[in-house]
Amino acid sequence: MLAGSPLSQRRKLAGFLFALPALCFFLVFFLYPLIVALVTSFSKWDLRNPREFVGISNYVGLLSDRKFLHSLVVTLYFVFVDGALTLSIAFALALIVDRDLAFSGVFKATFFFPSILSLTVVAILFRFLSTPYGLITLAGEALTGVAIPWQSSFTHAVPLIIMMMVWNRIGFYMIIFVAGLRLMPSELYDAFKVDGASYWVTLRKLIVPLMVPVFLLTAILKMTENFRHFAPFYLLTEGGPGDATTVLTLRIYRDGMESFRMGKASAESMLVVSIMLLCTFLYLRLLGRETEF
Amino acid sequence: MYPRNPITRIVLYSILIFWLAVFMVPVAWMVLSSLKPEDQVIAPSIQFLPREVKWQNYADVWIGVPFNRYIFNSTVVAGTTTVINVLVSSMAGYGLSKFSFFGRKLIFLFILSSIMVPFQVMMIPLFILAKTFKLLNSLHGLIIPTSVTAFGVFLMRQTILPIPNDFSDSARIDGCNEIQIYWRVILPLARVAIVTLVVLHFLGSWNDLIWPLLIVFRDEFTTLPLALTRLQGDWQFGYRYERLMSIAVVMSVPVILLYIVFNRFLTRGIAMGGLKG
Repeated sequence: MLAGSPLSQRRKLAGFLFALPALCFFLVFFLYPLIVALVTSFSKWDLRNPREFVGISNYVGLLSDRKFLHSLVVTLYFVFVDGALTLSIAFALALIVDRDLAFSGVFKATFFFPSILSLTVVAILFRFLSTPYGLITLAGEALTGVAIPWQSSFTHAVPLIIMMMVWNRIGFYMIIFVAGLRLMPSELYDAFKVDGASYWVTLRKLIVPLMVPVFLLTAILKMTENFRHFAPFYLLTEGGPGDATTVLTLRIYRDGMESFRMGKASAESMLVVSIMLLCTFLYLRLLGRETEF
Repeated sequence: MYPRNPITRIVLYSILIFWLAVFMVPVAWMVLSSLKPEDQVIAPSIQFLPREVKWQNYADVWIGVPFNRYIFNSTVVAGTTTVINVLVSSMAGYGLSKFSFFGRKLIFLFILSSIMVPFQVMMIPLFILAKTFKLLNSLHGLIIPTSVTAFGVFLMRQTILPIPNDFSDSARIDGCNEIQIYWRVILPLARVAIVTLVVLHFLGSWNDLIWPLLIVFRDEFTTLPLALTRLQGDWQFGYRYERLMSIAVVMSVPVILLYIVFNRFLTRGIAMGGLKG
């Protein structure tokens, strides 16, 4: 078909029209809010009085805001400790489930089950489990003789949330790892088998190197997910005790929706997204290097 | 690789059974606690089974709160957004994969990039937007801003792209227009991806807390996760964990049913979103 013929023009238009509703949606509910957030981050605004342009003072203020810096530290602590635990356990379980044992399908299905529950349900359940008369506290006391005050202790509140999120998310990442393992070429497995290689050798020399791209992708996925978690902190510990579990999402919510400091909250959001994009960029650099050879 | 050494098998099975317990005991505890009498729930010792099975806890949930209304709201929001998402995403997936027009790649990348931006960045401006357009405290306010997902567009485009053009070409020769081709040829061929998207989107919407929390302050538009959140802090209701657990169970029933019926689609969708995204 000749380019520019009326029929081809009509087809082009048809294609664009099919994409138009989605495009409009993302212009209104993604691009526009993003621009509003950027503009608001340079202004002072409480939603009632008119916006006041204040330059970069919101950002400068944040750098010396101890509460914000504390939230940043708590967030990074959660993001990386939780991420490392979830991904390593998920990968270990994926390896076991992938070994063709009887009933491995049943195990896979049950391990995945917690990830489909609403985080609201999970957070309220773990809040219940970690009360002084809750199962986790009582079981911990029976095992170690010490009753840990999970919700009211500064040192245990973040680990409590990590415990909950690890429990909740292992199955999800295990499924991704299993799918990655299934994509592996079986000829290579056979070659290792013919050579009489043990499982550990196969794991070290074949499986782990081939899974590196999947590790990096899941790491990005887990990091993006962890930065945006809200319900666990809002519901399980309400950011407390004190502000021990006030992660950035919760800080932004409090500053914006409770104190109506829209400028400050927006500046915080923009900083979070910069950190995330930076981390993603670093991961992708790693990924690019790994997949080149 | 099937482990031939029986000791290895025993070790692997013990690990699996240990984790099975880790994943299932809290869920079992939730269900059992929802049936316990109040004093047993706050007993300072581990008692797995209810002393007497108190179905009354479930009936109590309906007392004083419009629980049917919450179920209705959650169902309408999750159902409507799912239908909209399937339609809009599959149309975009078709338009962005089977037609060549200026800016096609750019539009797709633009939509995909929204996955990278966390919701907290959008939280404040979306609230302002919702306030400006009078979307606060309304069902359409719950529905419209959450009705299309970048994952949906991505999934549908990746599914429609490899469909051979022969199908649509022969339909075109038979005199079908583009809309008929989309409806009669493309959608039926993409049905596996559509079911995947339906299940994943319905679950996501049913379970979502933060958007309702931002824009709903009235009981009539409260969804189940928001209701559970508000009831937890309620002075009459809060900390009555046997009741909160029964709400949690009621809320999880549709999720569990979907999971049992569509397990394969769920895992397929996650594997696809995770590995190719």
